[in-house]
Amino acid sequence: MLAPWFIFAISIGYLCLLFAIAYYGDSRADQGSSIVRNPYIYTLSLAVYCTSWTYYGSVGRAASGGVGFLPIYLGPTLMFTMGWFVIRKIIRISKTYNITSIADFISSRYGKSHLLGGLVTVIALIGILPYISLQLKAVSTSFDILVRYGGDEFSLPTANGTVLTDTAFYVSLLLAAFTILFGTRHIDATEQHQGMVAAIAFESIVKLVAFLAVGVFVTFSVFDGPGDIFRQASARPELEALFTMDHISDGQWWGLNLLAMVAIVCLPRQFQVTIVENMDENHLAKASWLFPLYLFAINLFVLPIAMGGLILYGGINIDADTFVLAVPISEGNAWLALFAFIGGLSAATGMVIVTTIAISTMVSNDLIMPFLLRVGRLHLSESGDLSGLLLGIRRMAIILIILLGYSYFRLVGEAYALVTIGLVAFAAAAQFAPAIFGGIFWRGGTRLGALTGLIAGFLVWVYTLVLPSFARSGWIDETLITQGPFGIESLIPYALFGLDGMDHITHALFWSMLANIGCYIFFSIYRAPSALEKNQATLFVEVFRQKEGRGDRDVFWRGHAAVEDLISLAERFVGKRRAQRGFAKYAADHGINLKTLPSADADLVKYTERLLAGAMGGASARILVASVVKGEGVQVDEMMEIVDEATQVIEYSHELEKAHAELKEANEQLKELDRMKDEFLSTVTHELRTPLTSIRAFTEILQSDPDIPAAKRQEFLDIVVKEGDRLTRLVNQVLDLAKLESQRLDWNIEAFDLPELVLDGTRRVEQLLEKSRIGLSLNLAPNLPLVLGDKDKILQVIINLLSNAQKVMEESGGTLTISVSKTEHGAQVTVADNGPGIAKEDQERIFDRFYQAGQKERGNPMGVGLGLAISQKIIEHLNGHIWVESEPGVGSAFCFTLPFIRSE
Amino acid sequence: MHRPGPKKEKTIGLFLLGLVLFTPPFLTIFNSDPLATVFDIPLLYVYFFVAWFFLIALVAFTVGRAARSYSLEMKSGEIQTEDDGD
Repeated sequence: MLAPWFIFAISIGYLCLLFAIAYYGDSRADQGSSIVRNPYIYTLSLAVYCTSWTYYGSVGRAASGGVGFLPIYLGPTLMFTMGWFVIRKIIRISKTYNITSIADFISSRYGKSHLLGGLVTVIALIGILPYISLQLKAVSTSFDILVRYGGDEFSLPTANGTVLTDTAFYVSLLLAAFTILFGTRHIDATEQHQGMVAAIAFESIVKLVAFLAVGVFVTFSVFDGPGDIFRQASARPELEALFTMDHISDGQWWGLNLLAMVAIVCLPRQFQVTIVENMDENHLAKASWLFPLYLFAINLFVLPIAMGGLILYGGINIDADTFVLAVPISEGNAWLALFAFIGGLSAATGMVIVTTIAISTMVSNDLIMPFLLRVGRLHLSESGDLSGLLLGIRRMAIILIILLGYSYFRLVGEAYALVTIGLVAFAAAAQFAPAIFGGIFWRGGTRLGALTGLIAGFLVWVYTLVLPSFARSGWIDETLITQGPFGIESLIPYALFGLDGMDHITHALFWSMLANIGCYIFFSIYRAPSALEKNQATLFVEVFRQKEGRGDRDVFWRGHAAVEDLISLAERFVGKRRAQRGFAKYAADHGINLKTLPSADADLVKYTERLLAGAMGGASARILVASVVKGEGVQVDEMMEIVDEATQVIEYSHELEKAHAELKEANEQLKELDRMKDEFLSTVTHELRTPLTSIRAFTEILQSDPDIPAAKRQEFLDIVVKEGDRLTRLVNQVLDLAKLESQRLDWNIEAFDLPELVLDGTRRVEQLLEKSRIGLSLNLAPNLPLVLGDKDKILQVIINLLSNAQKVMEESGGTLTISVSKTEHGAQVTVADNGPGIAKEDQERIFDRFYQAGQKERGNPMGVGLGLAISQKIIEHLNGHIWVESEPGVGSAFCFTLPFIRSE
Repeated sequence: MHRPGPKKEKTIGLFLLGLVLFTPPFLTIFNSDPLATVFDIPLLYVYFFVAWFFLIALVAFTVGRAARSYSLEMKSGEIQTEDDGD
């Protein structure tokens, strides 16, 4: 019903329309009134995600797996819920550092590493090439279906004509022309292609409308609404499984969701449209719900079309991938079929164009230029304008990529390797995820980690997905997937180490991510990063903390770079006009005249590097700029070392300060101890001198005057004896205290009955108390548990407290109350008198050595002032507590506690 | 500190909600009976598209509102520093 030449003409006409749109988009951009600078075009350009694999393949997947196709679109939805948080950060980083591709991004993040950029490019190329050929195959197949339809013979046609009669070949050539024209029109510092974006957005509208049209046609014209389709489908027992999720394992579901989630950022074409072509990061806000909404809309009719097709062609062997075309054809709606074909063409061409631009940029910036710079650097530096060379490389790369894709498709044909290619490409792109997401959130990620992770993940990907697909296509021995290499069963690519029961994609994703993330983390931690890596890591992770436009002021510098050298360098690589425009802008922004500037400062050098980075990637730009900087430009590494040293010095000085403070404190303590020792010595000598003086005075009197009356003599001798006693007591106590303080006292710790000991102590002072007419009241709690302590020393404490009480009550008389009670801290002994009491300020110091309460007023020292100090030391040594409660004029109570033994 | 834009907690919250909505254990509820239908459409299919739309609407509401206030503040130049979500 439709002549082949007509379909061919329509296809070519459609592509020409794309040229026109792209041309219009570019010319509007040149006039400064961009048509793509709005969130809606941005969203539509993101929809390049939906390739012919979506357009035809979703229905195919739905026809065999029910809702199993949905994770491919739910994953991106999930990623965009965090878009404002995650994707915006990547956009901001890329804008700040003029990132031109995903390879450039990863290479810049990990110390502007050439090796990494090249590796990413190679992985992307290998992973994506079959995907491109899948698109070309879809164009070719759908064209054949449209041309050769008739009756019931819908068997999938193959590209069996010669190259010259193959539609896909001409489509490929046109696509290459389009991509060259609008993808490499000029070398730009921003690497944005507004015309291309406009065309892609237009294609996204076409494919959505076309798919919806087919969906509405199938649902409401062929059938009587979705209810009708599903009612008829549920009547067929062979379709029953499609209504449930029973055939999809949890692992597969998770795996596909995760895969699609990272693919929406990591696929080179998605990185191109989402990050590189983004004109305003605020567009992301609208896109983060509009783009999922687009995915929602384009998937709305997938299930009805799939079910409808299965009902219509239940008995016939028709590939469900072709339902989108087959249903309109078999229902006799030729124009709709043509529209559906154009929709599929849009999906395929959009993907090929964007992918090719992205990959060709990577190939020229991250693979060929670094190589040329390294190999023939001198020669390169001598030649003139090199922006042409750069463009030439890119154009060659574009033609090569598209032709490679086309020949792959011609060679592989219907082989199995092509059928699963969509997800396999996703799995390849997913290998970039650890390096990207790790790189923007984890400062510790290093070049070595990213490099090993990528290599390991890529190798596992090849082994678990690519090799077996070759085996299934019959190119290598099929025993690889049945018996494993060399018959080693645990190395079977689809069931590595015996991990069985997963689908191939999930299985490959699991092992490759394990290897990738494992190596990334292990080697990042294992080896410290270089200074440049550290610097780049900080710049990326903390991109929001940098002030606009001065994010990478990392190079300090003593070298000289002539301004004209920098300008001519930029002119040669980005073209004269654009370089001059760039430098004029710089001069205007900084309010300087570049002509009068004696030599370039670090800022200008940095600016030049960024200008070049926009055209040829960060790694190459760095080398180029370094080539014109003369003299002893301080290398970043050197500079970072200096900074590192300075940091260490600061750290040391902090430590020194701390040590100094500690020493000072210790010194204060020593001084205090010294002062206390002096005080102690002077008090002791004073205390010793008093009795000695009196003994000496009285013995001198007795010696010099033999005529003293006997009574008087007796009185003097009594005083001498008493003072001698006091002297002995003092010396004993000082010795005790010294021993206590130096911990040299022998302790005889045992369990004993405290009330009994108190009774014993009371008996010893009984006579003394009676003599002073002091009443005694005992209040001993019965059945107390035993306490732990040194019996003799506790007795000493008790006697000390009792004799103190006796002394204060000597004049007034009264009643001494002794009680032993049980408290939560153990047994408590209280010795309460009703003497004059102790003033508040004395209470605090009464346990100090030589402190004698009320001493001054009374002028008659009754003790040496060491008893309480010794008591305190003893009680505290035995884990008890001693204190005084006193009310002046009412009396005092000295209390101490001792812990019970812990036998209960 | 003043933090413009939707807070990262909010976006992570939305993400977690999405995970729950589209996670096998939760999906099992709608998978239990293959015959359950809404207007003859299998319940599982209806659930997927309703839940999906619901999540998109939530994102639109949250991000849209936050982004509006963000760009307003950008214009009035109130923003000095911004949380980068470490």
